[in-house]
Amino acid sequence: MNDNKKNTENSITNCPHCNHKLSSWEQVLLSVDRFLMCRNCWYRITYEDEAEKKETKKTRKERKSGKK
Amino acid sequence: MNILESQWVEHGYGKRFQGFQNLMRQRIRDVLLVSSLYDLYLFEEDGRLYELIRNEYQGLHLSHSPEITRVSSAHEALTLLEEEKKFDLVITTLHTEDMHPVKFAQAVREKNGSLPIVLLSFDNRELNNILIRYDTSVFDKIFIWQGDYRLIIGIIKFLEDKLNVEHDTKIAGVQSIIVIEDNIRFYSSFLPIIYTETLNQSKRLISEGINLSHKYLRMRARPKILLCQTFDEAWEYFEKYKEYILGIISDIDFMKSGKQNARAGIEFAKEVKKRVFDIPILLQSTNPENEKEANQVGASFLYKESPILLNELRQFMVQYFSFGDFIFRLEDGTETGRASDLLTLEEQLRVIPEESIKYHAERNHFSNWLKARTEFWLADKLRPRKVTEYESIDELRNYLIYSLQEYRRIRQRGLITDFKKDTYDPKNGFARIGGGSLGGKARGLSFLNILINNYGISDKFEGVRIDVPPAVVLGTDIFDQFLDENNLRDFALKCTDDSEIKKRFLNAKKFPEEAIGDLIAFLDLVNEPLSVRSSSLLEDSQYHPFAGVYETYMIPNNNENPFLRLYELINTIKLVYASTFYKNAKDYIKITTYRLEEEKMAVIIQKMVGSEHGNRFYPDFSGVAKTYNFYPIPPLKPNDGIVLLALGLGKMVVEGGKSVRFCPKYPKHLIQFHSTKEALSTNQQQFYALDLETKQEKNKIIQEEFTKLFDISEAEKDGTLKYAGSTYSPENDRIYDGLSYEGIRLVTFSPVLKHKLFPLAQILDLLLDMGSWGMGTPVEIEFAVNMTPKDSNLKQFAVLQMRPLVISQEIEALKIDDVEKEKVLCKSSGVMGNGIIKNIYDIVYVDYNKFDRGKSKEVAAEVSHFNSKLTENNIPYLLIGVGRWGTMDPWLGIPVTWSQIAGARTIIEAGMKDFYVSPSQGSHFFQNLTSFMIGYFTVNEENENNFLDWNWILEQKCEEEKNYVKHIRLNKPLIIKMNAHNNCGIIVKQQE
Repeated sequence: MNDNKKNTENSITNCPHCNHKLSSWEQVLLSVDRFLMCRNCWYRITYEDEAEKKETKKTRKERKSGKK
Repeated sequence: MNILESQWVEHGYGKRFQGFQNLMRQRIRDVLLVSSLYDLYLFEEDGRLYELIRNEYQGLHLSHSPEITRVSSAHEALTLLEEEKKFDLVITTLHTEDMHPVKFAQAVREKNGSLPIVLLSFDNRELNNILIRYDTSVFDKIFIWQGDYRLIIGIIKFLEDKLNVEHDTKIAGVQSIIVIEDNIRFYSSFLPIIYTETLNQSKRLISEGINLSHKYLRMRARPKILLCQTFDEAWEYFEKYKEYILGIISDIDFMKSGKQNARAGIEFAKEVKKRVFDIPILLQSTNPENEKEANQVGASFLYKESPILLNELRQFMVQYFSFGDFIFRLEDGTETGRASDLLTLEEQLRVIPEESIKYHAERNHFSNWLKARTEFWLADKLRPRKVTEYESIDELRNYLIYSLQEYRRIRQRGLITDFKKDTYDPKNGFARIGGGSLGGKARGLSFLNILINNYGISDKFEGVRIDVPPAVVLGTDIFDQFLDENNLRDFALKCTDDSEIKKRFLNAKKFPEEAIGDLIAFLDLVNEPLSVRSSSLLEDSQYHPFAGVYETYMIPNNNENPFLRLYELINTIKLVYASTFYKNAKDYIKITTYRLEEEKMAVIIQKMVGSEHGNRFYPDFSGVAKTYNFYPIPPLKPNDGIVLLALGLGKMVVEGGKSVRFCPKYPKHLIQFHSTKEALSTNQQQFYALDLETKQEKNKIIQEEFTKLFDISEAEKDGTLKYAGSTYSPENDRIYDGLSYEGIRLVTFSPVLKHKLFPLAQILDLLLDMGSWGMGTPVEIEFAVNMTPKDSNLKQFAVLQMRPLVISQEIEALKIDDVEKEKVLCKSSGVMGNGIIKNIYDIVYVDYNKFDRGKSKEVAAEVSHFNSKLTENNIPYLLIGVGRWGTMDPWLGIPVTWSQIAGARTIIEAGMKDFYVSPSQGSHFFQNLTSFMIGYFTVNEENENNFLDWNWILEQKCEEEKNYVKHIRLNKPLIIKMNAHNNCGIIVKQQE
């Protein structure tokens, strides 16, 4: 069965620096406040930067597979 | 990030939502005025300049009127600037005694590059002289004093607007008015008028704020004035802020591209209209012949030599900048209606003629008016759509009405509003009635409400709506008024008979009339069952939760007679008030540092969560979740949290009854169901529900009887057991998930926890994290779930309360040494608390051999007797009992209330002869225990780590004994050692 959570394509679930898993509340904070300090490594995660990277990766993938 | 992406920016929680609170960050707070004494005398006239300005600021509801420091010489000014470095603005007149003002300004510029400097002249001729002979570009602006001290305010606001326009427009879409005027005398005279008008407009908006902070925040979003002297300067502003321009007031003859242009204003207006057709423009000129051309480009016109110029300017602003009422008109100008706020706008939209709606919609008048009132989100929502996009004017009318309703509803979400019948939303509202404090419980709820709404939690889980049930809160002023009008205060403080207090409160004839009116209005909107809960000043603070001390009542609120419904509600409120003074409360307060006189009671009247099942009303399940588990069983850790869950009303959990325990991070790990024996012994066999058929009769108070216990089989008939039930098959000695097998029904919540019928664990994990983050401490949350709400297809997860938890902050783990068994009174690996206690000489214990579960109520009364005796003499004691302390279920343990054992410094909970009793972390009793940092030992089974020396206890000589409970006093104190890090503890008897 599903987790019943709404999925957002650009949601960031792990710290990009140390890969520490973000709790669900941390994910909410990041998506709303647009930045978050990772409590594991103190890296400042910026939502726009990371979402953009994800989007670029996705676009590249789609282009490669000829979907775009 | 632009406010227009979300309407929540008005509320200032979370970094993203600082919105309005972040506006006008740069302020002019300290002004250095360089002038001769005579100049100052001219400024001041009848009163001190400082006071005049201060009064003006207060009258306009502006905060922080600036401090003005006056010096008479340039050198003094330069020294002050160097030494103090606090000034935000320098105003100099032409009469600086020791230096030419231009030279002075240049000297200031050199040292303080960005500090604004303004020249204030008294005389046009004198000024012209300077303008011709010197380069005055060093000044940020030059003004002429014309006798109106409000010019100083105009100067300050002009500079503040210049400093803040970029930021405020970006963050909140604050509107601006472009003013183009190169004549110093003219702009010096009308700048104060323009500012006064915009500030008065802001002041008018205060009355429409939802609550006090909302009102003052909106002042900061007032339109800004961008004063320019040339075409190019104005055009730069226009290009940058065109979407946010409220209007333009412009001269006609001024500089364009470095040359004087007699038609510059006309050309400016033309270019603006090409890009944004509906911006109101006012052109002013000393040449009346310009009026025709001004009208041709779609602008209004003012003749500068008119004796009533300033008045006409004011009227233009009120009319065209949408300050003041929205006046509905037809194309020919006939007035058809007026609206002064959003509510009356909505009302008028229902009745005014179609032609009027069309006329205003085509010209974007609605969105302009809304923008002027800082309703940016709504204005932006309404603006883009053209009239032609609607099939009919009626459709447009309905859309406008719907948008206004929706906006009013949404912006109240998450806020405490003042209760008004026509604006209260019975599905979401959280409003207050009366003044005073809201009390601890309501504060916690309101805070939760804000977090849930501002962070978009309410619809985060598909198919589920997370909310705080709608409520109104009677502020503590109503409590005070009730006590004073009925002369109850002194009596209640002194009376020791609870039944007498109850009787006097119920018989009190007067109840604050204003509150009655609002309660009638509330009951008109809400006819579902209600919970009426205490929310005292002292409740739910971190160190003194007062958990379970005051009363909560639930009432069906379903009498056909509305007067009886009101009667029932008011009586219930009186009962909550009365509970402030019951023995329970008085005993509790004695052991805090507070005085009962300081305590005040607010009351929360909240819609109950649940559904009707025949004559019963209850939620499908409810419980308590904590961020911290005091008794984690490995591999669980304390910070993983713990949840206690029961079918029906949460009363089962908070009163220490049987419930399912699980960790939200590991919801499938249910230790209590690992053995069928324990599963059966801890099984919830009854549930609490509101009995809807118990009718309130006049003169008969039966609030306590509304909530009743029902057998689990009733839940199966109601269809609610399916979310919680499993079946035990005696033949196979197995537990099966679900109800399809025949056998004994067990409440295990396996459909929810194992099969994810509802995302309970994920929701609780999120909310606990959110709560701890918001409160800065571990928290405890009470919640209820309704799987089939009648007015929605979304399941409802309702948060009923949130309060901080006290966790011992000791850093050093105490070493529990190995002690010879003969010296040990008690040893446990299930201990709560940390530290050493060395001053306990007294033990109160329940005789293990005499204890009879059927007599647990008598046992509780006897314990209470000893507690009273010892606390009166300030003697701390060790309490030893059998079964669970503080459970309302007499078969599980001893049903004491907190106040009945409040003098105990450490408590031992020994297992009953026939079964294991786990600590009830969800109960009120447990909360008070942790907040008062009482040591707590559980000894369920005997082994090398768990031991209680009953033989030694029973051998000791009694100081006093009753049927079941005894008191002994030792010659030497016990040594109690507890280690919170590994939950171990030991109690050592000192040898005689």
